[in-house]
Amino acid sequence: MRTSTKSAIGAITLGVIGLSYNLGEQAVIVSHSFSAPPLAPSTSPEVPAQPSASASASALPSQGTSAGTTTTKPNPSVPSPSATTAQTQAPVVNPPTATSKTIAGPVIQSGYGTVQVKVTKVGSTITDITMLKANATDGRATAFPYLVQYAITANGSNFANLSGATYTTNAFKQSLDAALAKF
Amino acid sequence: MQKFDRIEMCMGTGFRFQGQSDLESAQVDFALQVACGILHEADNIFSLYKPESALSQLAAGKTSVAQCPPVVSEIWDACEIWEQKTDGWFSAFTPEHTFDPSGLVKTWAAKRAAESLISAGVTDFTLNAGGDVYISEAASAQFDWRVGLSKPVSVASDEAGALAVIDLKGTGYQAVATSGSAERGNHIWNPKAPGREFATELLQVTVIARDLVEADVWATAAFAEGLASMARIDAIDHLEAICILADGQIAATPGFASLMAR
Repeated sequence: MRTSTKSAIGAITLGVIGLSYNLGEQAVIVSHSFSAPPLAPSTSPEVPAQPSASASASALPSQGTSAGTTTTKPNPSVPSPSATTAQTQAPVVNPPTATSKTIAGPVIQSGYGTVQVKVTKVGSTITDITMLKANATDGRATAFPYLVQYAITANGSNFANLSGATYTTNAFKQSLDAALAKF
Repeated sequence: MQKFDRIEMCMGTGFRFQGQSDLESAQVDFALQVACGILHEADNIFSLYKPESALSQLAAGKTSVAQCPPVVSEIWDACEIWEQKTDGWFSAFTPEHTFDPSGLVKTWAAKRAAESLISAGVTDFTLNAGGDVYISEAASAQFDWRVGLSKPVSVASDEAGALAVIDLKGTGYQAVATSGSAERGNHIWNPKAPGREFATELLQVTVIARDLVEADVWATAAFAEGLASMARIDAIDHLEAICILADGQIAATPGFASLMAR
């Protein structure tokens, strides 16, 4: 099937670039404190594009080679997790009795930095994940906004491994999984 | 059912064993200990960052292959075989003409570690060897068969994350390896360039195979060769690949699309 490569490249290019573009868009929009959009988890969410959200790059310290303890910038204006969930809960189909609960995962040292997540769940649905610590070197920090989005839409960290970027994902998933285990 | 999740730092990267077993936790721990021992033993022999390693001594001309542990000639032979299979695009001989099997040793050791776990009765797991992923045949969780492929992000990029997620359950594929310049910078030389310069045609290539070493070697070879490697890989059974060109375009083998998670 050697000759068919070219045409398949075309088809795949469209598909994957479309996907890639969508993900990229989400990654820009999603900031540290992101609340789950009311969506069916399996479909690509139609999130309106926003011009260059600044949150991802500026809020994620990526300098230095040490696995420092730099924390993400404090975000005093963000309402408390329970308030946040109360807002987003409305469109989600949940029993009215469901209450939100927020648990922080442990601080995980990865090969290139420090990761800690805080998870809010309403019933069995993850509604918010906040990076308490997100420090990685060499640009890896830029993976975090996407990881946050992914975990929310998948209601968990729905792939076992990320090929090509070990440390960052592992640390994120470790902290997330540990937090989820406490619910 | 005993769940385990162990990250072992070795060879300058992380090896993560995740899985579950019916064995007693002490037995699982011991099996993991043995598996990690295999990794460290390989590192001690093959590290070019350790001046006392057999490979460093060999590169410095202070010893011969015959005097090295037998595993050195085993790896040497494996490298030559892979060099032939890849038509010279994978080469363990450096621009300085020394022997550097680093491109093979990580997954070779990981594969042996995985085999050791399986022979100890721990059969349901995934192993992430510094971004190269192996899924055991008996992996029971659907989740374990889903593998994210990292985007080839530049240092300054905001667009990092997963490019795509593939699902290998029921496909016969068990290994995913990625080579790229995003994580480690330029580190793969082109064995066919006059000065063996670094390969730069691709930003990243991911190869999906049945065997971890096979995936790793082909990812390295494909990165060195560039876009033309997609046709080469397509011509080989049980091998799929996706690559990202320097200008951001994406190419893949025709069979790749069927592996994407839905």
